[in-house]
Amino acid sequence: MKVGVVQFPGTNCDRDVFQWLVDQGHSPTYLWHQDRFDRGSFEACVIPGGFSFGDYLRSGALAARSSVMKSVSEMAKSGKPILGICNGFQILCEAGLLPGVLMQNQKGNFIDDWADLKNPLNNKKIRLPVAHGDGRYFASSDTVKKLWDQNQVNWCYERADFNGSVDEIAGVQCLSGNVKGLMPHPERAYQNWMGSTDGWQFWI
Amino acid sequence: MKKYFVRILPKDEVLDVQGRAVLQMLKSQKHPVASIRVGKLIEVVLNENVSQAQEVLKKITAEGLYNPLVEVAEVEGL
Amino acid sequence: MDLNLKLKKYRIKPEEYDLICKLLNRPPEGVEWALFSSLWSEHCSYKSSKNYLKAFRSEDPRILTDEGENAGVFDLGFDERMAFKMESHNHPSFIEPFHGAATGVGGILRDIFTMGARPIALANFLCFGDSESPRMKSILRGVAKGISTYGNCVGVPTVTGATHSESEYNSNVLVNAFALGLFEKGQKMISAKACGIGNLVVYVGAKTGSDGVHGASMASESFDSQIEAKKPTIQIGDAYFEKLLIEACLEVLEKDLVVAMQDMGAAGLTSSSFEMASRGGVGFNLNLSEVPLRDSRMGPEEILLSESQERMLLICEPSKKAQLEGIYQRWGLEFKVIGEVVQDRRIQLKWQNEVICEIDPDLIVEHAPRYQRPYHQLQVQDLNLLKNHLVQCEKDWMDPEWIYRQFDQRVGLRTEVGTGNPVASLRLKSNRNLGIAVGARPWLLKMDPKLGAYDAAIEPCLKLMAQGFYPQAMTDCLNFGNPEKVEVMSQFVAAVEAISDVAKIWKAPVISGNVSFYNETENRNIIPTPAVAVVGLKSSSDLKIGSCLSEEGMTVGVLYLQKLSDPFDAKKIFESASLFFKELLQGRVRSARLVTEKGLDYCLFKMSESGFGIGMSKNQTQLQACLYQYVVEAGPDFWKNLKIPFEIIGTTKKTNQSVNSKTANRFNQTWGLI
Repeated sequence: MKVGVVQFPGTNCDRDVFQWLVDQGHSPTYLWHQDRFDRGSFEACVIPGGFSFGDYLRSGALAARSSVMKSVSEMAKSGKPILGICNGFQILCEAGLLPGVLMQNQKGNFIDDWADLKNPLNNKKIRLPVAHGDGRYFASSDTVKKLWDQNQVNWCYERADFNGSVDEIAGVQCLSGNVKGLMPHPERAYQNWMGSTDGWQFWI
Repeated sequence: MKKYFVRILPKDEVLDVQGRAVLQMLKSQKHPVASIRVGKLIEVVLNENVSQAQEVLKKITAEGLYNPLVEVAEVEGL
Repeated sequence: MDLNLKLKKYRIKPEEYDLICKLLNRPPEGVEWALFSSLWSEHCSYKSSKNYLKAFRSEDPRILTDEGENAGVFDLGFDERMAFKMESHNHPSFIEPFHGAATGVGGILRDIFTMGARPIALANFLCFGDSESPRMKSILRGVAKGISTYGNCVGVPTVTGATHSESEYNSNVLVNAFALGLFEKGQKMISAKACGIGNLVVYVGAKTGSDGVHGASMASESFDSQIEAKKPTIQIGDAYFEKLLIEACLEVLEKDLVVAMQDMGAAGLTSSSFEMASRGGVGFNLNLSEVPLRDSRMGPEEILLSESQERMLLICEPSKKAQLEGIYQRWGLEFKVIGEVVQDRRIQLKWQNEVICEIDPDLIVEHAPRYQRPYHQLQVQDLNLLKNHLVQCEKDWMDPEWIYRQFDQRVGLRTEVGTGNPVASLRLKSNRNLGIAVGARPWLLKMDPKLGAYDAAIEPCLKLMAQGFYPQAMTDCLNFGNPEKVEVMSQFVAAVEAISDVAKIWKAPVISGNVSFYNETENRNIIPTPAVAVVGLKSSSDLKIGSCLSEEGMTVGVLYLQKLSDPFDAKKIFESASLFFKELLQGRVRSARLVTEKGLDYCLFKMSESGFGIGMSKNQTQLQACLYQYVVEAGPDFWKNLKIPFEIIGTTKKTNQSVNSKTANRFNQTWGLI
């Protein structure tokens, strides 16, 4: 598939995501933050992790307001698959394409670890690495209830109090299901030597 | 209950990395902003019977609310 | 101003002043004071150490850099080249732990990418004081946060390191940062030597502010009770900005738009311009009024001394200027032509259309004093003196997991083994792996500085070999007290001798390094601490020798590499380790681990974290006391032909043991961490 890989100043998982897509047989292209693109040019789009704009003000806050996100938004509205990983998830929330917000981890420290995850919709279990300082998912209780009722929660941390996320939510999707965001990194676990292959063909 | 605010900003001569990034973003969206400094606002409510509010707030602020090497703090509400 | 006051202000010694007057044929004037002050500081000139560092010189053809480049570059074969270096940021980290440690990481990264290599791994070596000493808990927290925040934001994984705690560091902590980079196939290695008459001198990166003015001189001075007064010289780093700088610089270097590049580190614009010109045998005309400023009140002296971070100086041909400017602007960075390269070997500084200085850069760079400070020869002492210390101690079973769990390990998709293991392992495109290990053990250095220096290089080499990596090259960060004291200078000379001896024996040359002197407060010096980082190569990614037990029914034994009852012999240690390594390459070893001062029981405890334990046939008291010993898990064909002294201790069996967090908890309790 032709996949757009968004790049902001400070994004640092773009090369990893690019490689992950190439190795799975897709054709990725980098999309620079200042440029608009035609929503028909790509079949899917990934917003990689990192520290876009240094995470300044709030994680993802500045990136969400850049030109490229207008095009990503249009792509999302047309129903194409959009994946936000880590900082990408934060940006999608700030941009209003996903509900909720990612806040500072409960203990105030950056966490680098492996996370056991469960998909509440089909009980599938996987293991992916996490590396984040602002990974605590938060939404109002009304929103959280809606997410569960409407089957929008797609990944949860198995370990209680992993980072303080409400209901241990690690990943959500929009109502129509095409926009997905998650804190763990599938692009870091797709070959045996990486410690897990659950990131292989994880998304598209 | 009286609320006091401790207003913390980076020192003038110190590089404000957040301010620089926010300014760049606003400027790229063509807003007429000249400068931005990003800091913190801490809201403090003292116990009911505290008299020397000024002294107390001075002490609290020095207790580590701000980093005097790189930040300035001002107490408001006195 | 009175001469003595001036000498004090610019931290120039009377003898140095006399030398300056001789070189210039007159006393220094105007900004020349500032130039000599910073470039002749210990931190910049290496005046107390340069003579002795010659011992590290090597003719090894795999070394691709000569002296005077930013980092050492080494040929790994298969068209792969690496650059690495280690650097200290001790004094700033004590004053402002978060920013001090962060800017230390920033500085070492710049030394790597300025050569054209993409930084792909970070490591660190940290020495704190007692947890109960004043400020130390917050220093540890600040340093950990500074290193992790900077490394994570810039997108380079921090994959290994070491943390120590001794009371001798109560007033002088050590924060050493190591960075390693890889060159893309065909990427030209960029020099720091300016050349090309008529070429442009260009300033790129962040604007210049008054950060760190007089910082280089501060690092060259011992702390006294006036630490509060030293506060204004803190440099603020911005990892986000550095990331932009890395991408922009790598892009312009890949496109071959630059003739030479140097980062503005200690002594900022001064050191970069003077060193680039001096090494290139050319001169510069520089216009200080063109330097992009954050603070318009700054004058020429402050501009010269500013240590604002994330700035680079580069030399380019005029025809490439437009393209270069476009790339830097796209990344949101400053780009300003501030001068040109001239034939006359002198640096001319202009300020507001007036020439304020014209001086031969060689006078300052090449003719900096080189001190032959007095020292006496140290010898390695009787190893039996170590016996009591090597008895394991429960309280020493501490794991600084709180620190290394904050490092992003896996960004970059190369990390196969990260922190929490004896050696870090990174995948190369050639289906080989690089290994990184850090050494220097303060408790041993305190007892025997020379042996401890040998150990600083030997221990990481042995750790690497245990996991199947053959040591290729090393870097060091030599942290010492006041070199004007005979004892300290003796420790320094002994350390250089020891490390260069190990480098020769293992044929793993020291390709770069750093010296940090004056780690002294109120006449109390630190333990002599020569930190060493060794990089090894595993010839095939498919060869996996873990540090934990891996199979049931395997024989576990102890290999004696250096018994306490034998005289210390580095060559013999190398020979024994090499015999072991030969067996390992034949596929006869399942797992191996070097026993540390925490003892054999601790080593077995760690080896059992994979869910395999040992049915013991012997216990520790039945074994010989050693400085170096391997625990090896292997089949019978390994043990029956082994020509190294060894003792079988048991057989592996499956257990249900999982990773135990008691060592991590003990560390957290001691340091008041959550």
